[in-house]
Amino acid sequence: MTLTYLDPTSQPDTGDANVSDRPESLEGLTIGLLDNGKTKADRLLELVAAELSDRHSNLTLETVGKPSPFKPAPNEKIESIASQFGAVITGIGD
Amino acid sequence: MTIQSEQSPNYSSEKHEVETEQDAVEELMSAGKTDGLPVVPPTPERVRSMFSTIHFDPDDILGTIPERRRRITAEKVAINAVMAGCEPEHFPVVIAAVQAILDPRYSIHGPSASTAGPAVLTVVNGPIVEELGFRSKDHLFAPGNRANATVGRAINLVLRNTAGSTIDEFDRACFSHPGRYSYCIAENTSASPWSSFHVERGFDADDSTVTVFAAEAPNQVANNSGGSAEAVLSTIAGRMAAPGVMGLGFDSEVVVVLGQEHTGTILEDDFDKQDVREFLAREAFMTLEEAKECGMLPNDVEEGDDEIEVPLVNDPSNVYVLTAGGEAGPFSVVIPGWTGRDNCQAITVGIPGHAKEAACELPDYKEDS
Repeated sequence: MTLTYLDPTSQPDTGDANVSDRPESLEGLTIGLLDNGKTKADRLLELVAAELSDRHSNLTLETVGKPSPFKPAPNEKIESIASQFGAVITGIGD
Repeated sequence: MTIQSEQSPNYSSEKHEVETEQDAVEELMSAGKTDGLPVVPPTPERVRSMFSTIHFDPDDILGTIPERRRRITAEKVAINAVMAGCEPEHFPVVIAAVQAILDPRYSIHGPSASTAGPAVLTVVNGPIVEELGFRSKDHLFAPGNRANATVGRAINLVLRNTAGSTIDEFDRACFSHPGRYSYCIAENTSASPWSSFHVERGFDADDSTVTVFAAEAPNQVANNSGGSAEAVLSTIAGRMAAPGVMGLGFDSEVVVVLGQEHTGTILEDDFDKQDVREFLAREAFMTLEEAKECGMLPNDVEEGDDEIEVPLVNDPSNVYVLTAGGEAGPFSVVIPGWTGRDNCQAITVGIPGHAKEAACELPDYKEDS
């Protein structure tokens, strides 16, 4: 005698989403620093920017923000970031 | 959507085979698929019984959480409702609550991931309160009543099991609170002559609804002065704007549950509900000086700070006044919300099969006294 039960969990539906290839080198890239709007995220990203500048001389760093830390960035913002930068670093503060 | 036939549908969920009911309980608990308490094993027969009360198919999608790439199906909600101990009659209430938290205006990702750790407070209104025996009076937030306990628990299990709201995935709550076991109440509409909450939210009195609210724990407020509406409401307003309240200055929302004794005092002074909302919205603030002096702001006090108000809510319509709780006791309850309305708003929806409309436009309280 066995008992069957149904699994209560579900997994993410990743659909056709995939992760971009990592850049082979950061040299010459324009890198976006995405401030998600949480308290002190800006300070964290400032420190990251300083560290990157120390390590790489040929970088352009640009900070961008999004309207709310609690909601996804609007599609236009995501598309603009994807087209504008060779790589993006985001940070969460608190 | 169709009512399920007697034949068991072909559920898409993975099936697990065990020897006994106890084995199923232990397996679910050890896999982290419960709230730490035993559950009812969700057999296909029990899950099917849930669909006897609602015109939904198991594969109907109730909503999505885009940040987590999650789709929540009626099947998964039914499985978790069985586990929570719901009877089939409770299932439409759970469905409505899940639909409500998946409304983009509620934006469940934020409050269920936040270090602040709010829980989903579910408020049930309408004839279904009596029909299913939801508790609205004594022991309002306490355990012991199946409808409240299992519906609230089911919502939390859905979040845990289908939305990735666990410590291993998205939930970063620092403390959270016991409402994440179960946090479901009903309004006691017999305690006052005022319109019930769901009617204020645009539904008819004979509709049944749920309202979901991203909520901190209940803060009980005592006022035994026996004085006046203003005395009672001043005490409540003080708690609404206490040091450390997250929503201060953020255009927040707040639930105020007026106890029966306090409601009586307020009614004796001829306050209607809009008077209550306006009083509380006006008085629930800190001055900038107070906010600095209690350490909530880092700057030094400057001249004129005592004249600048930092309010909790920007509009009286965001003070959600309910009447509930026991007959005796000079108490009310303040339930602070989570940050501000830009991030998360209370949502009221009709319970499928128990309301004419699923959802209404949010009302303008200013035109409604």
